[in-house]
Amino acid sequence: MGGSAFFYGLRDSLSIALGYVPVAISFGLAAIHLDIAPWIVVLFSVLIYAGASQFILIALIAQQTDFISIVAIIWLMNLRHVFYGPAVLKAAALDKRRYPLAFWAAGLTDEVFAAAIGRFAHQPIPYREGWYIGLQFGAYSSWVGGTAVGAYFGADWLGRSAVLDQSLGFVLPALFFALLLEIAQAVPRFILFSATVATGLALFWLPSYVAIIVGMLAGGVAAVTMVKHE
Amino acid sequence: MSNYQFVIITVLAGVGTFLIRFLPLLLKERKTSTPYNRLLHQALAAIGPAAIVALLVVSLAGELRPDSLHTTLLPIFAGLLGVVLGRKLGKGNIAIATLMGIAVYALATASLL
Repeated sequence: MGGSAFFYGLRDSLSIALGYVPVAISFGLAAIHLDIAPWIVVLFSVLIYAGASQFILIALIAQQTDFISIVAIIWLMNLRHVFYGPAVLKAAALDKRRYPLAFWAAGLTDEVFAAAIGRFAHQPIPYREGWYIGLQFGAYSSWVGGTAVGAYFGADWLGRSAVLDQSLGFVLPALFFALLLEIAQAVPRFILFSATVATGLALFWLPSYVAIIVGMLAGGVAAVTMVKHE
Repeated sequence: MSNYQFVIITVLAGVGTFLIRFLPLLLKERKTSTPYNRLLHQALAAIGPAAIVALLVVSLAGELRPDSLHTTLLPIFAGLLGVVLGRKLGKGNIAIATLMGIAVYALATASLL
């Protein structure tokens, strides 16, 4: 039962993998563009496994941000995951767990969270845990595999094309803009506007990695202000 | 930055990210909903979207070259339009939107070279 549930989860992870692989390849390409060793780039994906914050990581490396700030910004970026675990456990509605909680947490990305919350109801309760582990494993494998392809084969592609080399600088803006379009309908405009203005103004006086923190905090403050005025 | 420093950063970032995902599972769900919890929840929920906006602003600013504004601005606008187009063609798929944006940016850059 557990085995087949795992493979059903693996099958259902294909939709996530379709989204992950091209972005992971782009990540690998963008990272080696900064002269980071391919094995280090793959290590980023193996150990951190958080797409947006990995792109931030290389953006911060490119800005020559200091060690402590890089780690702090990545933690801050991933703080939203704090709410995912309890919500996933609640949605699974299991009588008894077979796997340690660490297995539940390891692959809990935005996309896995969304897929699990949306599809748990379609799985029989005894299958849910195996299905969820399969879903996580498929998504994780596609992210790490895609990164490895970009990191190990990207150098050849870059060497052959000056336009590709130059265009890789646009990978991050394109990804962030695509993500912004994705969330724009669900997030109050006031939060997005506050973060935009705060970041833009901060860039005039502060290093870019500090401007990012200023923008994030401005968004948080804007949200709290909105709650207090409700 | 040396490979040794990269490994340390990766381990710290990875362990921290794992704990952020793991510790709330250990603490399990708290049914109580105090005003403080609500404020904290709202602030944390806003940090992700705010970060995306902040990163977009910073990354776009990094692409601009003040000495050749027109040759950097045109590909940027074209690339952003490409993202919008890719999103429509890919029915909301972020990967397709991103790749389309990069492709249009590359075409615009190549035409200006």
